[in-house]
Amino acid sequence: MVDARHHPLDRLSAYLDGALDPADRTAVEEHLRACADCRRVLDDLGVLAAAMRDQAAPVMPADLRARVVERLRKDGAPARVIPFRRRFAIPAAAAATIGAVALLAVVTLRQRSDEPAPPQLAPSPPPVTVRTPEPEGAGETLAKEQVEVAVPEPKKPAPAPRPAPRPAPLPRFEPADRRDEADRSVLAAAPESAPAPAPAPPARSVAADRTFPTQAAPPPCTSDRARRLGEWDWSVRDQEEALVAIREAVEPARGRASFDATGSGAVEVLFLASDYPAIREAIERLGGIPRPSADAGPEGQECLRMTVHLTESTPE
Amino acid sequence: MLSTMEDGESAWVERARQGDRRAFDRLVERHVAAVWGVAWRIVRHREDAEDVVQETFLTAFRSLPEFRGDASFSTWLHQIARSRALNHLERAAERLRRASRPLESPRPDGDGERIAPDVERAASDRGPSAASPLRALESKELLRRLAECFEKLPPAWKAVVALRDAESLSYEGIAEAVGIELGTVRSRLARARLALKDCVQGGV
Repeated sequence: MVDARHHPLDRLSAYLDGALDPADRTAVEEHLRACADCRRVLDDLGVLAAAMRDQAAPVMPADLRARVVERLRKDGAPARVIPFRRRFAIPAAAAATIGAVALLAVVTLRQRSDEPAPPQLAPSPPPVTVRTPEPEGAGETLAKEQVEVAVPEPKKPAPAPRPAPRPAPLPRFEPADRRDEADRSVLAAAPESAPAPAPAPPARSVAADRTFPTQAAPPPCTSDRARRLGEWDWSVRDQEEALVAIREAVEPARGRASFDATGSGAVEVLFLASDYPAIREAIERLGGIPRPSADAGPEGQECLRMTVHLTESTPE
Repeated sequence: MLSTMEDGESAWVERARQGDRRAFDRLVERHVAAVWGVAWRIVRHREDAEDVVQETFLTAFRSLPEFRGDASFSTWLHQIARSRALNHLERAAERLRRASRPLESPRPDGDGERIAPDVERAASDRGPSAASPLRALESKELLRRLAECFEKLPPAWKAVVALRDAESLSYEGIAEAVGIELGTVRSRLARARLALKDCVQGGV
C-alpha cells in the first residue's frame, strides 16, 4: 500500500475543480507529472464527478403533484396578506388573551398609580403588539397570524430609575389554552420582582413582560416598529433547549435585543441591525437555516425582527 | 415567448400571494418536476426526495408574502428546495448521531460524522496503487455502484458532493448553503470523493 502522506490526495479534488491557489496547483502538477498513481486517482475522481452530474433523477412519482396539492390544502397556512381591517377581527381565544393582558395591565397601573409620582411626564410609549398564534398540528413548522392591538397611551408620570430585577425567567412554550394563565402569572409577578418606587409606563411594562428581555432595561427595539427581516427554520429535538440556545445567541447583544416565544413553535427575535451578523452567525452555528427571503446583511441602527420557526425533529 | 411566459407566471405568483390557491396549484404543476430533480440530486433517495418536494412547496406557500421578486420564482423555489434537502440531510445526520447503530464505525471522522464500515475501510486502505480505473466499468454498472456508495456516505459528505457535482455550486456557494468554512468544504469534499471512489472500486 502506498503511503498517502507522500501523495497530495487531499488536494486532487480541489485541483479537479480548479480551486487550488497557484502555488498549490503548481506543486500538484509537478507531482502528477511524476506519479502515475495520482494521475489515475485524478482520472477516477473526474469520472465519478461526471457520473454524479449525469445521473438522471428517476421518474417523478405520478401522484406526487396531487399529494403536494393535498398537503397544501391540509397544512398550508393562508398565503394572503391580512387586510388591514381584518386585523381587528380578533378570534375569541385571542380576545380572551388580550382582555386578560389589558385587564391585568390596568390593575397593575392602578396599583402603581397609588404610589408617589415623580415630577416629569413620560415620553410617548410605543403601542404594544400582542401576537396570537394560529393553532396548528404538531410536528410541523407552524405559521401564525398576528393580531396587533394598540394599547391606548395613558398619561402617566415618567418612571424613576428602576433597580435591576432578578434574571428574567426562561420563556416556555405554552399550549394556547394555557397561555392566558402564563401571562397572568408573569404579569402578577412583575411588581414583586421589580418593586419600583415609581410606576413604569404601562405599554412598556406589558411589552417587557411579554418579550422576556435579556437584561434589566427594556430593549430599545419593539416589535411594532421593527422591520421584518426574514424567517428561519430550525429543526430541534427540544424546544426548551432551543430557547436556551437562542438566549445565548442574543446574550452578547444584551440590552439591545430580545426574543419572544409566541407559543406557536415560533420565536420572534428583536435586535438592532448592527447586531445582526453576530446573531445570524450564532443561530446558523446552532443549526438554524435562513429561508431564501432572509436579508443578507442590513446595516445601521435600524430595528429588525426575524422569526425562527422551531420544528420538532422526527422521533426515532 | 419567454417574456410572455414569465409575465404569465408573475401573474400567477401575484394571485397566489393574494390567497388564490388555484393559482398556486398551477405553480406547483409547473415546477414540481424541476423541484423533484433538485431534491433527488441532493438526497438521492426516492422517499426522502418526495418529502423534500412537499416541504419545499409548503415552505414556498407560507413564505409567498415575503417573495420580493428579486429573483425569478423558479430560482427562489430551487433555493428553497436546496435548503430543505440540506435540512433533510442534516436531520438524517442527527438521527445517525443519536442512534449509535452497531453497524457504524465507533470512530468519528474529522467532520464529526460516522461512516459506514465498508466505506471507511475503503478510505483507510486508500492508496493510489490500489486504484483500478473506473473507466473500465460499464456505464450502467458504474451508476449502480455510485448510487449504492453514495447512500453509505455520511449525510454531511453527501451534501457537499451533491452540491458540487450535481448542482454545480462553487465552493463559496457550498460554504454558504451548508454553513461551513471554505476550508471545510475543500477537505470534506476531498474525503468524500476519495471514499466514494474507493467504495465504487471495491464493487460495493
